[in-house]
Amino acid sequence: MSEMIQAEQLTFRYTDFSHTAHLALDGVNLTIPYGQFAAILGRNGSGKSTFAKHCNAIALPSGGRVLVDGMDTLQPDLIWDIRRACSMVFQNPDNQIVATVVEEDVAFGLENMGVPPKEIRRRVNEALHMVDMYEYRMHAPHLLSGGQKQRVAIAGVLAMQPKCIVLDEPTAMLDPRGRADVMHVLHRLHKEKGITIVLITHHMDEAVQAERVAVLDHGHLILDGTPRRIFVQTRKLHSLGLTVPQSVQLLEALNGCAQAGLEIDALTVEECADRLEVWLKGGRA
Amino acid sequence: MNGQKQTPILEVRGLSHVYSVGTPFEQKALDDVNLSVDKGEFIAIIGHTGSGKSTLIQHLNGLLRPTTGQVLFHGQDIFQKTSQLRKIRFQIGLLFQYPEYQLFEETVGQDIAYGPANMGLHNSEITRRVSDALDAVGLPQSIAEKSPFELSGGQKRRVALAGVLAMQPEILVLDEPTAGLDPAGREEMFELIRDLHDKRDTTILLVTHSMEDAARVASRLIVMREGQIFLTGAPAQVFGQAEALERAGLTVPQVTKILLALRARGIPVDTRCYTVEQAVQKLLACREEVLGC
Repeated sequence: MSEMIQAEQLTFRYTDFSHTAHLALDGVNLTIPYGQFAAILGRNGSGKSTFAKHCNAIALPSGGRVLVDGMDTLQPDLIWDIRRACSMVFQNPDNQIVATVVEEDVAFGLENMGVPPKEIRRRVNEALHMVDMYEYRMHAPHLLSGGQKQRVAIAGVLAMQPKCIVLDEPTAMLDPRGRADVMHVLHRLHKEKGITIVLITHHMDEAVQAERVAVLDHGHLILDGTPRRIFVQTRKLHSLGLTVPQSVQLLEALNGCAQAGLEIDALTVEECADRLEVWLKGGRA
Repeated sequence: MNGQKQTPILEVRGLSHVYSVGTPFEQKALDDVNLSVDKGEFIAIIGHTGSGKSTLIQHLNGLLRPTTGQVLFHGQDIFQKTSQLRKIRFQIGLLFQYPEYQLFEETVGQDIAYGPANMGLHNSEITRRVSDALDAVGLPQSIAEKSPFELSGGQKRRVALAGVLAMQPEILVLDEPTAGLDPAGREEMFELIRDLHDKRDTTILLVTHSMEDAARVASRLIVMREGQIFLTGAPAQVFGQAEALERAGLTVPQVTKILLALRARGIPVDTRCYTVEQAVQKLLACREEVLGC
């Protein structure tokens, strides 16, 4: 039984301008099963984008191997099947738009794949509906907001019917509303279509929404688990250049200065308010 | 010269800007904006995409011309004499979003020297300013000889900032300087900007999407919505109006939301806060009151 993404002892070596060798990834073992919503965190230079690029054979392992939907990325003849199974969305929406009309942009990949026109029409419409951009199908992409462009980019990969979408900081350039819209779309694709989502992000509030959080640092997999297990490790995360949600910080601070004895693993506003309500009324949460 | 102390360093009067006048895409991006900035202030301009904040800052150093209204620098209309505009651009430094993509010279040193060289400064002064700017952004002098391509993203962004600082502007306008950085990188960048403000007395206008970041560093917030100034005041004042902020498409910090959720449950907690430390104080005070001890 294959997995969606299976990295075994994955190592990636590169040399910089001064010809010094670096290991962007150093023996990473990370398996993402079909249908999972996984977030990958890590500071700049931790190797998380390099990992993402290995998920659809943009980068190839220097050591170890990556199996995508059971296919080894080192086999050149499988590269198109791999990219069809696992698509990628990048940070900058402007770098991914190729056409002058939204629906043509979404159709671009399908045209290259030689899909019949009728089928292209059907898939483009469906993809645009999924990302709530159907009414913008005749618009010029460059006049859309960042969040809208990013949803068009997602529609473009969605039209190719991938099993997995890897997104490398897709919300980094977006405002809060654009970010929320993109996250909403990702959850929808995950729930309604069962698409595996691998989300590389700097935003902890996005990571808490995932089923699983993996943390990379200096090319190593340092932490791996559910958000609830990861985000209570405040000190560890801080040492990795990451933060925890304010809900956790708040409960921990109250424990520190008022011996409140609160369980700190509240990731959402409501969870945190529940615990605080009990404590404020004199109980022990 | 009388009363010059009272003259704000920067003033925006009745500023409106309409894009693509006379086309089907005509759009009013700014609608009668009035704003006064005192020397040494640290202001954050916050707003949703399309709220007009980028349009506003492009007027501040004359990149865009007002459709109506004025921009005054030390009381002088910057558009009065076109020949003066160039000079004003040296004094009001603007750092764009993702400035690391704008580095173009062969070496870091040459890139930073570009602005001062255009000002017509002496070579010795240019060299001094390049070195000074590298210090100011916390980069080693040795980096001046490197190609920008050899640097990390965070380093490149600092070089871009150094290029603006080398002109020694009186006002520094920064458009989303922390976008795309990781939490540690964001923290470093904010520390750097705070230092520029505190140690060099530079007047700062910071454009950001993040209410949390804005509240932490700025002494005054300006919230824009649909081309107008929607809210303005000290951070605590502005965050006291969380519902209004959410209506403007901005997210308030999670701690503020937590306190608002408690209040919605009938718990008498003061919700005017935006940091974890403040929330702890408000909650301790609230518990005393609730328990009557």
